[in-house]
Amino acid sequence: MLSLRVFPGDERAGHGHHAASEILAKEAFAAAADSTKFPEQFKYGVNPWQAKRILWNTFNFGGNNTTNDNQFKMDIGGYNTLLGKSYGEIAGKSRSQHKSQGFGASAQRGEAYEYFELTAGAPAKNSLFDGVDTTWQRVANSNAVQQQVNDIIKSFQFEHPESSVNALIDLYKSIQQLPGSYWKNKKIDEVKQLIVECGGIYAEATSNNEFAVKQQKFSVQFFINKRLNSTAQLKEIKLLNFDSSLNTNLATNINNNFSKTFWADDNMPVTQPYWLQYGLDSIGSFTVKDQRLIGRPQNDAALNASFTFNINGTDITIEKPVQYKFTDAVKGELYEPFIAVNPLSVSVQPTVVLTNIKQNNQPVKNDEVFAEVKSYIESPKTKLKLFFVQDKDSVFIKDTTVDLEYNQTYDFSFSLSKYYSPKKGEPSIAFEMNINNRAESYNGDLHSIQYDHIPYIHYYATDKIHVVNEEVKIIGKHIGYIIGAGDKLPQSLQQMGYDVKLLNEKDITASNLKQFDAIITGVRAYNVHEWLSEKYNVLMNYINDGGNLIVQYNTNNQIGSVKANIGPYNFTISRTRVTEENADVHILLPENSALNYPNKITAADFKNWIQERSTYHAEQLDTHFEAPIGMHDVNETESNGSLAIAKYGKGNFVYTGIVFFRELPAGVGGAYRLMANLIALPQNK
Amino acid sequence: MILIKTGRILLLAGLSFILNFSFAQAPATYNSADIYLQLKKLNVLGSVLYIAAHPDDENTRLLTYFSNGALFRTGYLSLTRGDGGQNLIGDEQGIDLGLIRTQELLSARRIDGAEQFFSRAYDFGFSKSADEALRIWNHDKILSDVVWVIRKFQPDVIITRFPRR
Repeated sequence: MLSLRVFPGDERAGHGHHAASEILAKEAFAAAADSTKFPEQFKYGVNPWQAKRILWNTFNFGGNNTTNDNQFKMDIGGYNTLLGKSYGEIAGKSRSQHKSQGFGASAQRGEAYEYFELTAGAPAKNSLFDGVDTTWQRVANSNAVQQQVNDIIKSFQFEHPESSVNALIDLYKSIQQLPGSYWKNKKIDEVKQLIVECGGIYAEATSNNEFAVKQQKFSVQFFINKRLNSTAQLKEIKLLNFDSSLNTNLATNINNNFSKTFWADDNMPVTQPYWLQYGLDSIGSFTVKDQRLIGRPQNDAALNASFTFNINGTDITIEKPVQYKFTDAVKGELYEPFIAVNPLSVSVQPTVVLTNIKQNNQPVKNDEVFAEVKSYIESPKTKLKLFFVQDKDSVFIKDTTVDLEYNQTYDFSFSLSKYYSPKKGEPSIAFEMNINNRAESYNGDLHSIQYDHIPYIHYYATDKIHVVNEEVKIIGKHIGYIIGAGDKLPQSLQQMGYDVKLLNEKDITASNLKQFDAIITGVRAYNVHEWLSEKYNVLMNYINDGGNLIVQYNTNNQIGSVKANIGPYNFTISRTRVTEENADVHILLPENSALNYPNKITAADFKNWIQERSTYHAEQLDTHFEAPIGMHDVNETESNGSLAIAKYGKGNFVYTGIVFFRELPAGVGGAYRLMANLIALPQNK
Repeated sequence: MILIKTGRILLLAGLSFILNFSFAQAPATYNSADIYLQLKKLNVLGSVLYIAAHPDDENTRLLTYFSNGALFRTGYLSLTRGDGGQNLIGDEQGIDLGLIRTQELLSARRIDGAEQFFSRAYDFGFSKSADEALRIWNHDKILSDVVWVIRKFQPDVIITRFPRR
């Protein structure tokens, strides 16, 4: 049962966001009904709304039982004959969509009680909806409508849904006669959808172009098939400036399709998720300027085609998003969002540059930046101009003429220090080119995220280069990195001047490890790779022979025997974390090498951290461990488990919950200096 | 100098484990049982809104029952997009992760039949107290969003997941 419930089985049951959501919901229950609260919303067509009641859905798992028999309870474990599934079976599939959280869930069968405790409003005795009329009775003058619906249900023919179309059209007209109301609008939409479904009408608008590229052509294919023996006329299709009057009588199960070419003009905005358009307001919330967008899960499609059918003298118009459609040789036919993009996408690698690296006290120059431009157009002999942008200043770097091809990338490289001014803000780059005889400048990078369980995701961000001006001294050169659940540390380590090799299971051999000054495991590596436990002896021998093994945080819930399998001496992994990124860091062992060599770590190194300090601290440390720093959140006890170091043989073992995986990609200088010291921990004589 | 398709090797950006093939964007089609259920739903004029903090906080089975069994208009308002959560399938963090989890929720809703809503709150990472969360989110701003969603959705019943601390 547990897998379907909502709490993650960790300390997040006490997450401050959770309690805050409950507080806001209760306040909103009252405020939504109060015409003096947020009156500025009323001009957008909403009115005060009083819900009947608000309840807390209590729970029982993880040793935490908030249900009791005085609460209202109901069985939701039933089986739905029309769906051929129980609600628990459907829920298992739904729940398993949270793949990024590893919440794959099994199907549940059998009775399942949910408990509810009243928070505010009228008590519920027999049903959650006590006192709420959930029938047509709540809509005035709807007696005839109610009768029509009952008749349609009664006479529905499973092999001939089209036989319900005429009655549904009559119902549609009847509901339209009702006075305006919330439920009128909802039911109109539902009936319209049912008319289309019962009529067997299939309509789509797709493009075989992945994107609508600004100032370029794209094509859209319209496809209509009335698959059942109903009577319908395709009256009109509209998309952008295309407005056809067709008046085509649709024959049964005959495909109607045609293509149109469109132009992505200046009026078509580049697609960007609405909550990212103006970025974050401080760190706590997104800026959304259009009230009407608030609450929506995502943008409407970039383009919607409307299809109007005339059925029994009544016009029924449906909107369909234009989708990018293609067939993958392995995955089959795919429909993905069709979006509007710029002709050029501009990215920068790396996004962190360290300007003051010293290896064995010799300055290391590692400030080459690659500006990469990706083309979404075909344009021969095109002059591209590259600019270095800091604050409002654009400095010309170079230009060149290139034959732009679709989906190809072109790299420019330059030395950052030639253009960078430490007095100005974080730099970015821009490209300028002439397109259709007009100079246009582009600086956004089209980020694309693709996973099989969700539609393609695209959004624009302007890559900033985080410049670390602090002196970072490094000792050693060769790092072996064992990727865990995924983090961007390897790139950061490269920027520090190290040579980084990624290690897989087969690479963990005594002879291969000899080349490395340090081996670092990525976040949660021991949680995701069972084979790491089998490599325990090889890794311990590596330390014993003089290597440094640095283990970033793991969680304790999926590791059988943490004590035995990670470090040379016993420790456990707790759920202690320091979430305040400005929490004071106390130096407990001022002489410890990790705080001194080769970089002297001071309070300044803990400034400007982001989001948090550390997570999943070590505790119950064996006496061989040294814990050089301590810290804690407000009102919590001090923990020295964010960094635990033990000498073992000639080398060193480090377990750290410090969130290097966040701080290094964000360009936090102090975190780089501390990481350099861990890698540099000296051999024991 | 311009290099076309340079041989510059960037370290791989993470590993993608999983996944099964389910392509959620294909146009939905309906069999007669689906249609019959929708016809029955025409007779139900009730709505319920579930409110919690993150994608994955919702009680999926309860939403499924409301939507497919009781045939109510059913919604889930997740205050955040889960930007600060973990990522077991790749290396995206922050806003990128929020985009992924937004789509995971929409994918879940296509299966259980409920509707999805969000406020403007950003999941800035773990927070130990409600006070801290409300201060960082900006209490009035997010309250306004919850009120807005309630006024638009007009739920008869609101359900929450979490106790106050």
